[in-house]
Amino acid sequence: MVIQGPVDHGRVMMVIAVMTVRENWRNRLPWAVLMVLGAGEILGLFLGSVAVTETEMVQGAVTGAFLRFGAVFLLSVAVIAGMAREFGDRMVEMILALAIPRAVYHLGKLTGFVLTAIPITVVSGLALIPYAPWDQVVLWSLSLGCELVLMAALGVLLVLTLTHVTLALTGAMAVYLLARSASTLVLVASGPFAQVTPMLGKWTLPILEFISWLLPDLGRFTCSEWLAYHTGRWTDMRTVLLETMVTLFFLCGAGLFDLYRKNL
Amino acid sequence: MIFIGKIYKGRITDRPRSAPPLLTALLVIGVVMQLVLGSLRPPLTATPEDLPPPSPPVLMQLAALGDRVAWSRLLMLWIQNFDNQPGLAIPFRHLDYTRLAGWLETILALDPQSEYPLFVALYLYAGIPDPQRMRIMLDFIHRQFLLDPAKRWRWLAFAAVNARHRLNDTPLALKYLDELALRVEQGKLPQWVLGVRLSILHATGQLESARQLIGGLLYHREVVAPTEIKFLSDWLEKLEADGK
Repeated sequence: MVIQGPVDHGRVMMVIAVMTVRENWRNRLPWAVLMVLGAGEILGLFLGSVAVTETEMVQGAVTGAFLRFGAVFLLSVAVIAGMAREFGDRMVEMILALAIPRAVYHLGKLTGFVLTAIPITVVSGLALIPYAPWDQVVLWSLSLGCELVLMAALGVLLVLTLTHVTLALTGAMAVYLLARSASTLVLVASGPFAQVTPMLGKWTLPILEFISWLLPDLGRFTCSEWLAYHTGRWTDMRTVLLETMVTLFFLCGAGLFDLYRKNL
Repeated sequence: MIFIGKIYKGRITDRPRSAPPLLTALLVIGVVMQLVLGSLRPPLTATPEDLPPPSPPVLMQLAALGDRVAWSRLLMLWIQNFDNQPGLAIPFRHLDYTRLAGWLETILALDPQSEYPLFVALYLYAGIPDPQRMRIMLDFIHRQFLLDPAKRWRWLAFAAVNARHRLNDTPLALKYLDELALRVEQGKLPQWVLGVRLSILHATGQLESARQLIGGLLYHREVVAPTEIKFLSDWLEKLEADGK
């Protein structure tokens, strides 16, 4: 793609985003997504034959959890592997040698990964249509989209910080699992556990609370209850969107901070 | 120029080179050795595995990784299929029912909206001709009813029917039905639950108790629907006729 005339940052950002989407497409990401979807459908059929009651609820909850984790894992791998390869091939240095601010590159890449996340979200939601009402599936899909946006931003940040694929992927999965269970950890630490070992409880609880404030409460995102009991409300999306925007702001800030400090 | 290679996306590529014969031989030897080793492994023997004690609820909450509903469903399917172990089918009478009830309790604590554990407790595990094990399951249902009477009354009503007709324990059935009447708001229970209670009282000759029950309901106007009043009046007439 050739850019003529004065450099339009917005246009450059979109070019980087489109190239990122193309790269993911050529990296056979759609095939990997289809494999996860196929496995999810087989799992759903298997659960349908095993469950003796509440069959649709079992299928919806478990298949939804599987697809959610599959989508998060695939997008994280795509983001981290793609970014790491660009660094390895010195592509980043080449792009940054152009007269564009580093923020344009960062936001362009992030936009590309967000655009990549959209079809993953849509097909994951479509796969759940047989098990739950459409409005609950739409809510679940929107929430999954927010989760994927955050994972894309986290992946970019971790590659910029840790620079190694293995480390970055391990870090992304660890942060994801911690963000999903941080609120439970706080509950456990503030319950009977704190009374049995007061000293440990005294130190553990503030640390866990601090971590839970730092991370988005992903336990409220993409809830299986919505698919199983149809309890999702549009008002639930307020919290999800607010958490997404605030965390995205924080992750982008941290990523840009690290990118501007790099000697490239 | 003679093209012997295949054309792939406009490029001419050579045919794949053949591997050296020694490497091919090593590959064949490797496959054969793998197969021989596999065939020499000791045959698998099916050994029955005991149901482990239920994990503490705290551990289960952590293991759920923020998705208690999906985790509880997976646990439920694992427990439900525990009697089908590789190469073995364990009869329910060999399962440790105390541990089983503990697991069902843990699963229900993870996802209190689910009725799956109550369903399997009543229709799968309480369905065996072993009074002791049946009691453990009915007791589990009773305990869970006390935690949420408004939502779980149906299961205690079925448990009462089971206690009466399968366990032949009329006092237990009446105890459950009394609890239902005591803890569930009047009007929420369908007529058939009252009918079960009356028929048990009638069958066991407790006619006076049955009369008092109906009389109380009619006197305190706890029943207002004409169909229900007729239903109770019919019962009262039947009891009066039997009492003479």
